[in-house]
Amino acid sequence: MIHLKELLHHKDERVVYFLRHHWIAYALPALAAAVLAVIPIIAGSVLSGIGSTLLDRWGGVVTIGLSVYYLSVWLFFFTTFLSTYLDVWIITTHRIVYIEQHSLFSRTIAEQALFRVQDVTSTIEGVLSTLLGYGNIRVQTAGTAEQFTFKTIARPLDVSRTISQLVENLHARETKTDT
Amino acid sequence: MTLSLLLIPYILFILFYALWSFVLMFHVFRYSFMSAQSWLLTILHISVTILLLSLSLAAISTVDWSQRISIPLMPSVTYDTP
Repeated sequence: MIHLKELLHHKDERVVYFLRHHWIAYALPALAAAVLAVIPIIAGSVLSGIGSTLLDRWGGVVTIGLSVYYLSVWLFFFTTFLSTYLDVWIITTHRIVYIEQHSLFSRTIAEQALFRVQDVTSTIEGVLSTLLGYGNIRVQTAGTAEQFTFKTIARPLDVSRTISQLVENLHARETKTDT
Repeated sequence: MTLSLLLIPYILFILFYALWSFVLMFHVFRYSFMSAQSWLLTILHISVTILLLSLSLAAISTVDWSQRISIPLMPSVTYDTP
């Protein structure tokens, strides 16, 4: 288990945003799993409709096959769900922590100081994203990672505005201490 | 060949499923930030697995596994002699 406190390095640092994907990112694999789950039911009703003796002759094989099929569909859905769920974007008063789970055995963790942020862009594209209020945020930094993109997050405009505000505050604080 | 031979790959699949589930649960607890949500996801996965397995076992128990199966390599064709 990762504790948020472990990620905070500075004394006055606090978490501003803890972001995960918008629920639409989970809905798509759920829909795919639902469609896959319905296919054997439709196929079974079609076969019995045309009077096929397949189920009578191969009852055992079909039973085992269906069991393997449904367990695989659930495993596929749960694996995809977890891969999406474990993507996290944390914005603190000093840094951006970016954790992306590409697949079950591939994971990227990157962090960038907010004073390195040069540009924050939020995009909402399409009818669905406009209606449901989700979109992408691209953060351009001066570091080696150069660019963070967090896809399908809720309220991207608010988040990008907050990041810009935090960056401005940091720069203002720095110039104050310099003078 | 009896139908019961099919149970061997099925048991192997169940073992693979259990191993994969273990890996998933490891990820949930290792990389998650919230303990309550990790437990919720674990309970959800175990519940669905138990539901699917019990349905499968109920269906499997109705099958006559001593039944012999033969897979015809060529379809049998009969000709009408004139």
